[in-house]
Amino acid sequence: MRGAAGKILRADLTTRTINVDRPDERFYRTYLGGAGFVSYFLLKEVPRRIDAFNPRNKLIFAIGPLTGLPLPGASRSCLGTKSPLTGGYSKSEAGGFFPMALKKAGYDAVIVEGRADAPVYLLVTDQRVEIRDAGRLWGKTILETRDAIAGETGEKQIRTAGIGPAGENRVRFASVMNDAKDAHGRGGAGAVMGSKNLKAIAVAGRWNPDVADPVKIHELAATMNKSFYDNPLFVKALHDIGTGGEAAMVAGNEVGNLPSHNFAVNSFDGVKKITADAAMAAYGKGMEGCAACGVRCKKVIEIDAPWHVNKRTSGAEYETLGALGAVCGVDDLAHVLKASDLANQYGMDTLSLGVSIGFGMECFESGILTPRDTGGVDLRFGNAEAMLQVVEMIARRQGIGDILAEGTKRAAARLGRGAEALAMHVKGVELPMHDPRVKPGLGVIYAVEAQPADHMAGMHDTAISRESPSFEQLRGMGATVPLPASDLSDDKMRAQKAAHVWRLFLDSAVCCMFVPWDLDQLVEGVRAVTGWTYTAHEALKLGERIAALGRVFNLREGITAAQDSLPKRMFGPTRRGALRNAGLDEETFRRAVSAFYGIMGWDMETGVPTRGTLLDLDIAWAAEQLPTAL
Amino acid sequence: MRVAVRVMGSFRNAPRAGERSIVVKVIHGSRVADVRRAVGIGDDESWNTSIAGQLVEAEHMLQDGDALFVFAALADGASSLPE
Repeated sequence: MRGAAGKILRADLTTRTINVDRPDERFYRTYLGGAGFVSYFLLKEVPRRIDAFNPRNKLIFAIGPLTGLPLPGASRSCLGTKSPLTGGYSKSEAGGFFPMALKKAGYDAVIVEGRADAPVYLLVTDQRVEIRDAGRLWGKTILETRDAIAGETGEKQIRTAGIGPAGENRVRFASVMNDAKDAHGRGGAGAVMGSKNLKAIAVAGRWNPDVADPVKIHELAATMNKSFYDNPLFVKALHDIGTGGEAAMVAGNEVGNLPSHNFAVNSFDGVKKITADAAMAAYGKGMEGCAACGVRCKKVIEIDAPWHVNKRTSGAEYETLGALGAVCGVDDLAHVLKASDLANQYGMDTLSLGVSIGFGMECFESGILTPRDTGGVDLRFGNAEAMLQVVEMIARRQGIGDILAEGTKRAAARLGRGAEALAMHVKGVELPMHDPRVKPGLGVIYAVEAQPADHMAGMHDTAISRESPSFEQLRGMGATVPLPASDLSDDKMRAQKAAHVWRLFLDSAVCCMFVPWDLDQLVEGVRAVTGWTYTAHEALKLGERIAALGRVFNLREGITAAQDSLPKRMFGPTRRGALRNAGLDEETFRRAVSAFYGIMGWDMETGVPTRGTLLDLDIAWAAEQLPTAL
Repeated sequence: MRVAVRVMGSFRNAPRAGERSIVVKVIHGSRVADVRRAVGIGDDESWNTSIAGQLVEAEHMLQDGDALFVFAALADGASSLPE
């Protein structure tokens, strides 16, 4: 089969056995790769209602048909597991060089199960697969681990996906880092990896996939690379400073989109000090990109003593600047960048990390936590030193860090005394840096999607409020009319569905949304690689299929429509700023959620995919996984 | 009437925008879209505008003394979307 290696690697760490599956072409066409594979294997193979740290939970690393080709934005991997934060479905994508190297090692996915009796890493090349001792790597940072494996194997081109001390300590929002700075962040897969005593997967190889139409791929690469320059507003900004530029941060703060002080204020006086512009002006050493990508959207940041921020691991994005900066009320740039660097070295999702610390700060200021609870740390908003100190404590599960390492949902339940009202999460996953009171349609996606609180899984309401080429694209996928950001009508839900299934297709291909692909171009790419007569219809159906599989997984695990909501705080105003008189209307939001269910072919009350929908999506088998009570 | 316009990010490169807030004279009955065109931001760009922190649409009627904030449409942390 073209485009793919045709092989899926399985490693059972308990028995220390390796196997290779060779799925047929129908499987590849039905699930494509990335999020499609992850969703299939999670539902098919992870036993019902096990704990996320049970050895029978699985880690599924999957790439796509375009991975490994010299196309921009095509070196990405999707990682899925049962989440230790939610007890449900989880997936996240990351870029870098690991995904391309995995394809060159000759595999389309790696599925890990079991638990090793001592720390190990998995070495995967086009010549051999080995489970190797990682005892001396345990406790090491992401970068130390990566460099040690490169030294031990002698493979200069080795690429890793690994965990740091946070994953080893089962911090529930621990990330898995591709090489040193690309995070599979959301959902806590790093903690699952730690529970398996798996320090890293290291990959290398020189295998190249057979491609049906190499000339077309070459043309597509040229077109996509040229399109960066045809789209100077978007891509030039990304190319120059990455995400988190002044427009996103300062304008976001102006309209209340950028959360501050644990989503209670959303008007942060120090915002200008922590933008990407400020970071690059003060400490920027350049920009870098993922394999074969000309967008090069990743900041290279270096700060000397006393900070010692390493340019190989640092480079805060918008979400990080917001979470470790504004949410914590911290406007000291060096502290924010150091916290980001530590999060990458220890392997933690910067979003959940920042929001968990912001939660701790609000608990402290409201008396739920005392100096005795924090070990004397003055955990007030704006205390940059305290923020940094707690980053370390969380990674090592020391003192108050041990509670915050549980994520806000569990931490609030443990603390009690009203802490639940301060926990900004959906089903256990902390909210991203796009306030649903400004982007309510995206808020519905946060609430409903299988991987909760994912800001990449829907359309940002502010970006589709008028006729534009972006909206025109969505119209072709089922959206009808552009609507004001604040709208939550059925038309808005149609637009969100269009965006959601498009993004899930993108995550299966597995391609980056910072490259200005349109649906037809990406479908053309899949055709050129595979030789199939692949269509846009199939692509969007795949998106629907993935959404339904994730939904069934969560229902099976006891996560129902009752949890498809947002923190109570989102239904009220902020203390000051643009949202001081605002707040979502709960009834309107609930109606929008119901409409979204219906538009997806799910029951409008329970959100359960109907049997007809599962049949239509060629996943009738998934109905067997639904609880009988539904 | 006069309105103040502050432009953020890449839009500062628009022909009549810049680093600082500028004052634009417009006739009564002007709308947000008129001011945006007046500073040279094209119709095909993805943009948002706010007045006093509130997002307003292109057809929003302006008042004398309004202070407009014009910026690339807020998206996934990058302000604006690939098109």
